[in-house]
Amino acid sequence: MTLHHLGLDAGQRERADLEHLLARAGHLVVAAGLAVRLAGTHVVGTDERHWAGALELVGDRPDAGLVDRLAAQLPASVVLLPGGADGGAREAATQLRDRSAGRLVQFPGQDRLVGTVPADDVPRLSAVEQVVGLAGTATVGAALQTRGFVRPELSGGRIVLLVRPFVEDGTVAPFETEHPTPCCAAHDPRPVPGTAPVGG
Amino acid sequence: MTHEHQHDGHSHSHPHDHDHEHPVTDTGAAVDLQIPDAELSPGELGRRSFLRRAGLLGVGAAAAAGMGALGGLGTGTAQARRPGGAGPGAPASLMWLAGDHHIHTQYSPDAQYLVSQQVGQGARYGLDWMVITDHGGAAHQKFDVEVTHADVVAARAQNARTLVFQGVEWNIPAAEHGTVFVAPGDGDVALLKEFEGSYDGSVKGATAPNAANEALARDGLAFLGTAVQQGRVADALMLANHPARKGLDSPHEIRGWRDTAPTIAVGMEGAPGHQAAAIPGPGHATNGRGYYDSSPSADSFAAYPRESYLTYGGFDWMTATVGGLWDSLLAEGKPWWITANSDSHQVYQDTFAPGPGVHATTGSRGAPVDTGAPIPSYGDFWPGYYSRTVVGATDFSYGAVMAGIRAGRMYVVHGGLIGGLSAQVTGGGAAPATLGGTTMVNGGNDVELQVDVQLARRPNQHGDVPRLRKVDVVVGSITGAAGDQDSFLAPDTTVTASYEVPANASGTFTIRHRFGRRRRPFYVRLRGSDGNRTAPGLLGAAVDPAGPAVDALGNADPWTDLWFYTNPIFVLPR
Ligand SMILES: [Zn+2]
Ligand SMILES: [Zn+2]
Ligand SMILES: [Zn+2]
Repeated sequence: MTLHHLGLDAGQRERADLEHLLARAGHLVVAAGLAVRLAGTHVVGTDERHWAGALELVGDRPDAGLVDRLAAQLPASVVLLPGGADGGAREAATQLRDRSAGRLVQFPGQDRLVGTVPADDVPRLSAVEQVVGLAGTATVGAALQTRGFVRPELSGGRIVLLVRPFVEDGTVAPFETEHPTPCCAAHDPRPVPGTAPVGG
Repeated sequence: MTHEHQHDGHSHSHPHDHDHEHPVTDTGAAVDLQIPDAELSPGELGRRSFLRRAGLLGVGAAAAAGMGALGGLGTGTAQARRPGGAGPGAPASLMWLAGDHHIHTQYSPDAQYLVSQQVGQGARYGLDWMVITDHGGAAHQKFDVEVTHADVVAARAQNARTLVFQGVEWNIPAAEHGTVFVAPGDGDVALLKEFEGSYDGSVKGATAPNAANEALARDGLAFLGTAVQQGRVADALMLANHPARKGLDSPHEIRGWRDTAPTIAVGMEGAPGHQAAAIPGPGHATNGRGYYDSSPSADSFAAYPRESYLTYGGFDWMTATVGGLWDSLLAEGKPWWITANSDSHQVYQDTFAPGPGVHATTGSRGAPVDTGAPIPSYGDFWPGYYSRTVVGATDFSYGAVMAGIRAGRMYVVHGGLIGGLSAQVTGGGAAPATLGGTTMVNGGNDVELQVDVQLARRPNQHGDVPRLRKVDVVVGSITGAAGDQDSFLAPDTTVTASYEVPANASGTFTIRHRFGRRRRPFYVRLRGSDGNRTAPGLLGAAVDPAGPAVDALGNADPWTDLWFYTNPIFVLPR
């Protein structure tokens, strides 16, 4: 199995925009006969930090035509390691290849991490290599409530899933929540919680 | 405008003496930058040089040391030690005034109450002072500053025993939110409006964490400092809110605010508001306590660990980590104080829903509507209901509360864990120093921390009489200005002692803690707990054997996990 690492940078500040871009890139790649093994979101740049994406592909090495087509159709700067100019795309692809930073929105076994699964089983069920409890959270024997949203991170050369305590003792949840409480600044108001009367 | 004259029966004269006073003590002249080097005695000059080298002699440090020399402690214990020179505003004693500097109303797009409701509730729950802080933004800046002022003036009239400040929750350019507030006076509305129009990150489209926006934040603080110097307002302060929530406040930004405007930017929330957000129940399943349930964005400071996005016993990671970010700031010997507030937007189990107003076009949601049924999905408490910032003030006045905050004469309490606290460092041949203060001791071994904690006697708002189980003494070396502006570690800070409160204790719990002979500058701060949820600290059990435990998503009952924290006292061997 040969792995290839593609980086994509459209200078996006919102991660959701990048995730849309990654989905479109994935379709184009699959149409070209390759399989996407990992899709990652990565923070890149120095003074103007932003999001860039990376794909780990399985199959024959893509030809330069694919890189050009992606660049034109997404549009974004696109690099295929080990080539490509320095920049966010290359930085993202390198982070993914080295498992040094970033988070995964697509990975093998993702469809098996649904509902509640034993945290100990996560490495067997998926590409996640290790479940790490934050701030002393015990993971051995813990039940992982996935809540349908698992975004492992790349750190220290590994794919890890960070977890935090959740609701009941012995239960953990992924560190990242799908719908974090939005920033309550005026330009980004928090949705008003349901105001329908609920019980007494 | 006459709103500042409605507190008949209380002193409301504000001598504004924090940087003009010349405390006549053995340390006062050295730290008082009003006195030029040439006028100091050789001994005083030597002390000043030492302080300069240690990075301790900023305007803030001077103010802090001056206030420490005032030595106020509860009722009248230390006042006799204040030598001479009792100018206007000199304390007969300190009064400890509970307050909240972070409260929202219908003038925020995501909140709902009238100013009068919030102030009335805060007064009902025992607050002496409050700051109204609706979110900065284009609509707020355009529509709300004047109307808030009118409401605040009315609330002052209705609540004569409560000091009501007007402020704004500033979108700090390139960073998080912060409370900015001013002393009442003729220039306050114009100043707040100009500040928000010129320096709010939302108004200016300056939220991205780049160098230009970081500079705009510092410019805003410098603007406030200049406004105070020029007398446009009597006083102004900034405190960073929910600082670690989204990883937006980098260590170098915090240091930059502090060092740009040390008399304005004086601290941060040690504990965020929204303490009801993770009480188990409908709509709370994926809430973090304090709504700390985010993960890093492109705007976040990349070096912050994932642990920084969580809370610990309801406190922000910067404060809860012994040896962490807050301690790294204190280890510089510079003032940076902590507070605790409600951030009240929508109160847990309250029956009110937002009014029908369109904030974006009117600046107001209108009066809230009573639905008649409790709404459990809300995540906040009323001001004063759970979180309190208790300030040692020299009198009951706007100026004295602001001076007390600036001096760091503050401790913070959750859920009525303690009824009161006084702490001072005595001995060393120097005047005692209380919270936020500095004492310059001789080489003797009689330097002692004296703590008197009034144990809770009355039920809190949950109906419990909290029981304090332990008080931790946290000590750290003062090592001078940080070489790395992005440092968030203080390797010398640890819990050096933990005092267990006997099960049968009542009344006052007293600690006398001797430091022994120490040649290097250090600071000491206190932390106490109900002992229900503890865990080794993030930097290891050797640093903090029984610190606050990480809070669970969707299940963090704030009433069974109570802590208090004090601000530090600085101790400088001569
Ligand atoms: Zn808000
Ligand atoms: Zn805020
Ligand atoms: Zn707020």
